[in-house]
Amino acid sequence: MRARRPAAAVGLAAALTLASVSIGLAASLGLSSAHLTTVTKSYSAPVTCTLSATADSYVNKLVATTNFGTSTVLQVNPTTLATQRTFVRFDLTTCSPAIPSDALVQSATVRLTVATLTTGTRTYELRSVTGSWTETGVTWNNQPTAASSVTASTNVSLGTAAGTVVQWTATSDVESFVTGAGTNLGWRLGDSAEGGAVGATLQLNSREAATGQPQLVVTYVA
Amino acid sequence: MALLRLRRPFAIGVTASLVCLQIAVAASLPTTASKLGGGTAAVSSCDADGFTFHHTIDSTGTITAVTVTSIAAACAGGTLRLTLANGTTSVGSGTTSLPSSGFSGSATVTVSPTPSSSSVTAVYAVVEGP
Repeated sequence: MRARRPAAAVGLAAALTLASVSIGLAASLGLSSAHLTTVTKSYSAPVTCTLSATADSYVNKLVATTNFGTSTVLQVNPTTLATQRTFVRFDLTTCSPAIPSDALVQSATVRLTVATLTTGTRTYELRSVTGSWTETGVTWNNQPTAASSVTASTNVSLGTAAGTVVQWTATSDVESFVTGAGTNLGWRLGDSAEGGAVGATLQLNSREAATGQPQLVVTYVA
Repeated sequence: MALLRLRRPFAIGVTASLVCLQIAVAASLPTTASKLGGGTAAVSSCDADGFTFHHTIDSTGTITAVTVTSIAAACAGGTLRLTLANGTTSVGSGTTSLPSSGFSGSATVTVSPTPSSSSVTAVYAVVEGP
């Protein structure tokens, strides 16, 4: 009988020891009422969609109230008196499958096809548009404002053949449009050095052209 | 002897109950994070329905920041740690504190280094505390 009493005492002592260890661990971690929240987002394989322009036009300072929305070409020119700028817009909601608002845009490229380049090598800047416009209503006088920062710049060299595709990277803008941080009002293409007496006129195919219409190629993961 | 016969089952019963209680407590404690799996402290989540991630990409195509939205109010006062990964490799990370008062449910984490958006395959977010 006496031999079994110590056994019971040992069991009790062991239980108390376990309790002490538990309390000690909790105290040492400092987590008696802590939150630890873990969220993981794993992206699927990339999806690419190619969009056609839903609106495009250009404006010309020399004919400041004329609209060119139905023209088969888009033009850019830097000269002071006849400055020309191009506007183009794509509807991201027509991407299939639809781009979710929490998608991560891996790349987005605005692709325009050269119709003719009259002379010289110029740098052309793409900027996101910050005001509303319509294809058949935009003119030099009512053209929308554009972002102060340049989305992308691309050089087009003298002798660039008609049919050559020129592209501008617009990943940042498209991600912004997708997430809702920015509003998709399209882009403006202009010469990087507007002003002066002479300058090249870059002609690009518009969406009304038979071939080489403007495209926006978007690759994203979600 | 009669008294001893009464005390022995009582002592054994108390011991067994305490041991069982320890086992039960250990089994019921949540261990949300794997690194705390060996611990016995109570760890719970401040958000049950997940977050939404919106990336800020600069003109060179790199991710400079991530805005995390849909964070539950219970996470206010915690610390948000975010990691961008390519497979099992971290390609960018950042930390920000969630304000204790006036928390809007979203927070922006500046990322360093800034990875290409095409290199990110997963986002891991952890809120520690409050």
